[in-house]
Amino acid sequence: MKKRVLLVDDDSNILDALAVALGDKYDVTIAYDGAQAIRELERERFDAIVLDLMMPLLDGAGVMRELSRRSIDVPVLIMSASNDVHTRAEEVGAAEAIQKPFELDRFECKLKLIAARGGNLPA
Amino acid sequence: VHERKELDRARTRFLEMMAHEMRTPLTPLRLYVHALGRAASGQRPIPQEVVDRVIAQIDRLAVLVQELGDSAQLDAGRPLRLHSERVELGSIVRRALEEHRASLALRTTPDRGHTISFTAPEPCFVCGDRLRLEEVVTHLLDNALKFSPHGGSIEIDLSTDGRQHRLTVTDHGIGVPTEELAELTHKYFRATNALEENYPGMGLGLSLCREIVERHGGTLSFESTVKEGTRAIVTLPAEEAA
Repeated sequence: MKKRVLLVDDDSNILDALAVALGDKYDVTIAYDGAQAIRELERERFDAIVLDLMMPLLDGAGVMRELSRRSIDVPVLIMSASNDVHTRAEEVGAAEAIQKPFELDRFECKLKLIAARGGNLPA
Repeated sequence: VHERKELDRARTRFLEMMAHEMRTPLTPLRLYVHALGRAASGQRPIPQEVVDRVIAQIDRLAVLVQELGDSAQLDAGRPLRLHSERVELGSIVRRALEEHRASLALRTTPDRGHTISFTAPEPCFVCGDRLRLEEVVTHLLDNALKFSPHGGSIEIDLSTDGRQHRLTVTDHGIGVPTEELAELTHKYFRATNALEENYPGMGLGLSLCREIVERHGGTLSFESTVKEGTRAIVTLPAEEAA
């Protein structure tokens, strides 16, 4: 069975391109902002989340806080165009980080690693 | 000293945002080209949709580079070159709307369920640079879309008193604090709430819009209330009907 991945970014181009690239290997759901991501996470179980940091309304750090508050334990790969993406990812407690733009192979390698760990439903 | 420090901070923020804004289209571009490479190596047909999306991302980068180039040109004291002709403002707005619909169809712009209305009771001719004026309309529309909530409405209205045309773009989005309205067209400036709420942008577009409008003998101003919305108002001198 394919692993389930939630992709969260306010840029529809990135979401579409990633959905096309990952579609063969993963069961992909997309969310255009943090609030939509939380709604998806309340409804479904995911093995991994790929999360942008800089989004209007509810940003990546806000999503991480909500995950913790709701005891939703799913490994997160932060993808961001920020200069300090790795530091920011550490600060918010993400499992992995990658800076945009990235090579697909490198991205897939990181995603595979965290998705293998899998997630749990909220308590 | 305080002003210089403020300018330094704005420049640093601008450079960070510029890197961010350029990396963003490069990400899907790289992914799409990877997909094209895989199709080519597997001797499968190249999907036209992916090619169109690659071109759309290149166009997106080209707009950013154009803004930077224009801005540098103005900094160097060289005014933007205008290729003026007799143009009708309504046709410029309709063209900008067509471009917007095309980018929705291609999904290069996310469909957030906005409704856009356009009213123009009569043709409004100006002597101006069609492409530069379209740049202004597109930028004001993009801003209205960016700062509007999902499903929000945007109204574009064109009117005239015979001597001067007035184009307004109204959104019902996050708005701009009153005390910051006068600074909106300053280079690098970004409204506090837009920064705090992570809306992307380099703070160049509106300063270029003002330059273009003023070079046409017009004005660009704003009315806004925080959490209620913003109205951009462009006035341009009318060109008499032929």
